[in-house]
Amino acid sequence: MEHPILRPRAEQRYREELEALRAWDEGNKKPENWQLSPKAVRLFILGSPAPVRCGDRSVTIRKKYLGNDALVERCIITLAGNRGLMLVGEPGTAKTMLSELLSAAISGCSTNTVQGTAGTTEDMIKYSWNYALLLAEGPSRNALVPSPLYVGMEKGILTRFEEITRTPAEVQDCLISVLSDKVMNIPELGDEGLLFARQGFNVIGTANTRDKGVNEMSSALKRRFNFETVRPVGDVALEKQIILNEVGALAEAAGIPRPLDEEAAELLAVTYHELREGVSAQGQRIEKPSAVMSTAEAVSVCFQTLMTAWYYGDGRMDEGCLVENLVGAVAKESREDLGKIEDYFSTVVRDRAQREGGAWTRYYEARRKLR
Amino acid sequence: MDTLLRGAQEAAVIPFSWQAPVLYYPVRHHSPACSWHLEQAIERYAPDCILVEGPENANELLPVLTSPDTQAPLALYYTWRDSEHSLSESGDEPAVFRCYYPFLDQSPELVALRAAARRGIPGRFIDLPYAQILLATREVQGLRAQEEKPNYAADAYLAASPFQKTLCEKTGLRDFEEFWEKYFETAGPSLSTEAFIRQMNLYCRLARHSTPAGQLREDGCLARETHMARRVREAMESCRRVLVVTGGFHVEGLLHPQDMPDLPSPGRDSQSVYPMRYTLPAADALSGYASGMPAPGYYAEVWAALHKEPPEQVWEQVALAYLVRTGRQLRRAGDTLSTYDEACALQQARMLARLRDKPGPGLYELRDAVLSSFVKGEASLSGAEPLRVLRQLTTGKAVGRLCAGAPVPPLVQDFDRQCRTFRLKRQDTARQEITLSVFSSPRHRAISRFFYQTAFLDCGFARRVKGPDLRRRRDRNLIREIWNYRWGVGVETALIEHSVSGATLREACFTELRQRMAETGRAADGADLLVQGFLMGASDAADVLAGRMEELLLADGDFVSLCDACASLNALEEWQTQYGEQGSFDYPALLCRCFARVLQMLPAMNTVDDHAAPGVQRACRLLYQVTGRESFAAQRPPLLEAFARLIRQDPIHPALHGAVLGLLYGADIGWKPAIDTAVRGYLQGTRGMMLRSASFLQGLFSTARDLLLADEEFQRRIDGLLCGLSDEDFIALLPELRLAFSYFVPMETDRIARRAAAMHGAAPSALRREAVDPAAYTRAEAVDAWAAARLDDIGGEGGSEA
Repeated sequence: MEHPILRPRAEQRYREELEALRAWDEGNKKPENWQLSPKAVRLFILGSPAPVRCGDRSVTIRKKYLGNDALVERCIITLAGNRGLMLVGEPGTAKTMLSELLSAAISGCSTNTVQGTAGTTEDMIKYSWNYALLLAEGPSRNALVPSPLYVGMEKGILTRFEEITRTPAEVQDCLISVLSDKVMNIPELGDEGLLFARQGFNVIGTANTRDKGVNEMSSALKRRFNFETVRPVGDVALEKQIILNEVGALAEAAGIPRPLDEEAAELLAVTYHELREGVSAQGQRIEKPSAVMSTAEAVSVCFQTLMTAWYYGDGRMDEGCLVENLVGAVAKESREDLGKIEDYFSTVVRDRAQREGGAWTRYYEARRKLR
Repeated sequence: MDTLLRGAQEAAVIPFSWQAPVLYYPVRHHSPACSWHLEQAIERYAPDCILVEGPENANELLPVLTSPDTQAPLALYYTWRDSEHSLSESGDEPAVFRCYYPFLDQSPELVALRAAARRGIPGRFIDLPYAQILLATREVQGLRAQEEKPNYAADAYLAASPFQKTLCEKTGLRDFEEFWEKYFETAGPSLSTEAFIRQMNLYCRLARHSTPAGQLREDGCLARETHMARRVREAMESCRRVLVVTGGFHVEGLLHPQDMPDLPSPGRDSQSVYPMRYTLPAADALSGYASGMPAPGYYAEVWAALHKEPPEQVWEQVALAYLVRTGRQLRRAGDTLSTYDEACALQQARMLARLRDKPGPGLYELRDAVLSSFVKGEASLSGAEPLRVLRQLTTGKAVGRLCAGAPVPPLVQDFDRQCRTFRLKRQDTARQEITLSVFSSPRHRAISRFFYQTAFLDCGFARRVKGPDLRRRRDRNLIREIWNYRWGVGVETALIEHSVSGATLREACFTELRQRMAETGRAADGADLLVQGFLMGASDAADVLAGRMEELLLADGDFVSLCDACASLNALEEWQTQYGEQGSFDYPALLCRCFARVLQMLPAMNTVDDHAAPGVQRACRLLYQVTGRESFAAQRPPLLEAFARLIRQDPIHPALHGAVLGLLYGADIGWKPAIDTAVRGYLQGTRGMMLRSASFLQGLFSTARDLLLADEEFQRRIDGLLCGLSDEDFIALLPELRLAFSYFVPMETDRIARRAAAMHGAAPSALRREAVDPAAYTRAEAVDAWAAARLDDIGGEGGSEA
């Protein structure tokens, strides 16, 4: 029996939708080497209002990226053009997810990825050598070990570069000439040492603005990218929906069949939204914590609470446990953040508990867990 | 579109035929697509007369609007003064209403009127006169909504209807404007005129049906439609083919008018309408008063391009022009944007339009392209400069022009007349400077009054740069006022906006003075208005204003505000002799009342905090000063009594304590022992008290600095205190000590310093320090002047933007 993997690739997870869209897409104009047309890519990410017919079945295309539709459209068009796409924004704003979905839809492969770290070197991006073969045969294509950028150019697919700003600026700069000339020089291979990029090749970079911004990126490299700033979700209802969707997917993968607790998702969506914006729905001013209050964090708090309820409790998501997990998620950077959360509970949550009661009252009563 | 709205048959409810005796042409204000098809419709229908939605009391101005010398943007400025109190309480000041009706080159209404003029057929407005629209409107609805600049052509009906939100969600578009652009602006020109009108009617009908009927009644919409329908019927009697150009929302109402009660018609004199120059930024919907479409500059360019290029190329051409212009402006500001960036942006705009199924890249694609290709890095406040530049460019900056002979309101005529009388340069746009000997020359004082009046109306005409400042009670020693004045287009526009307040500058100022006086709730503001009234020479307003001022003095409970009022009233009275204009703004009774109020509150002011203490200190000094005047000498004893009661309070702010003791000492030398006791008490008290002694001294010296000069023992004690301080405490006290000694003139400081030196056995020569190097001093002065000029520039720019 095949062991299920922890997190299937986007193109595996949405295989059915992608196939349906490919069938739907017949006759639409696509850029060379793209698996889907720009319109189909848009549908794949933003969902279609009506199910798509695929042979004798009809497949519902779920909306996978909630938030800014125009941004997704700009991303797709950028990738069809001559420049790379750079997604920047606060941590946890679904940049990576968007980049994965785009590569899965456009190239059918979301794993051709450089994972940028402070230790990333140029050969992890372009190519390295199989030294045994190198010694035996001398430099040849056979002895060359292609890295994601090489693969992308050779096959005409997208190369993802995660956390590009974590890598040293000198290493980032190896992208400059590749992005403008669309050719990679491999001097070791002599006359055959030129790799011309095939149509369909492009680069999606992601960078978060929190710890090491894009300011340190060389302007030569910046010029070769179109930048898209991904913002936190601005709408509470949407944020709640995202939490429900994501936790639902995680729960399904973990084999937890419980229906999700909408109330808990609502509490978290409101809390995260208000702490991030620094103002409550009633206009009360709130001190913002220094920790990242992203939707992704809210999802993980919610999922943790769900698991606790599933394995240790009666299956109901307890507000006390929710608050405990919230503390774990927020009090990462400084002790002061905890104080800010306490203040939030003793003003905004209290007022809302008095006004709305129900889950908010239980949430407010669980504030003693904050200490 | 038809499939989107699922209502092809719905549109049939509004019949359309080129042969009909009346052709209803639906428009959205400022929409180039509507105007474009309107031109075709006029060609094809060849009407005998054109009726346009707009308050009909402006019909006399049509020759101005359609004159070839008149250039858009311009606006009709409607005003109505409710002197019969139809809408306001009879006791109140009559309410004043006004609204703007802007026209741009691409406004269908203007296109229709111009076409009528060109073809030599009658063209006129058919809506209710402005005053009657207001009479038909419920309070705070429609044109009676509380807005800074109410706009006749606001199209909330089309944009704000609830079904609009559903439509945007269904089509995946961001907002109404994007929806409008996609289905009407970009798609419009490639449709046939019939199809376009049908689509307009269909959309507007749905918008109308999702608007509550009650709202239509309350904001006067039904009454207006009934009136317009009547005018259409009248026109049909004399013309065979009548073209009616109205907001698409109203077409159904015109076809099926409701019976509405007749409205009273207010007197002709109470309402007026004038044409005025308008600007594109003012016409931008984004500037806060929705006037139709956003980005008027952009759509003006689309409108112009529609007459030059085939419709399918217009959008791309305009997008390209804007991208290039944005790029050029960014490069001029030091950005390193290349032509390649512009090429990428154009490509981006084109492909986005294709992805979004739009016939060409519109405003939204243009913005998206700039965001993608020009913004490098995070699109934060600092990173979004390209978008800011684009927004500015798409808004445009054109200013309209009126043809010669356009009627101007009496207020502007009065302004011109006065400029001529005073021989002020009216056509020169360079800044002029004029020096006025206001105290000796009656003519100069008259000019000064005129300047103060224009400044009060905020016309941006004249600014006093130097001279006695009665409002701030400064520079009383100066005898001349220096004014800068400059004529600019904004002056006339501002005057037209104030024309509702009166026929002459004097009258307008008088009216607005009374209004502002009625609106303010602070005695300080009221007194300031009195001072301004005096400066403007509004002597006939003096009594009315005084009545209101009296109410303010009773109602205001703020100590600082009352003190300010007292100071203003006092200065007004004192300075009048200087101006040689005693009598008109003489308010001894008001000053007395104000004085009494302040006196009454004074003893309770002991517990003010550090922030408010200087204010109370100033107030005490002022009161003392007022009682120094002959006519107020009788108030001196009660004041001293109040002072004495104040210092008996415990706790009391040390600075206040010092200041009041100093004043008491000034009035009666017998207070010296009390001062000695207090000083010793602070200096030798507990550490906390000792630390507050600097504050006490600061207060004391502010009112009685001769103490230190006359009494060497006093200085010795202070010296002792300073010697006993640790370095840390000394640093903490230093700011306030500095302030305390700043009240002495240099000679006195010198004397004190010499004495202090002697106490420590140093020779007076030890005090000498080398003077500052003249070169360094000159340089520092130059830097200071440069910085002051920069600040002035910034202030000036800010002012004109505001």
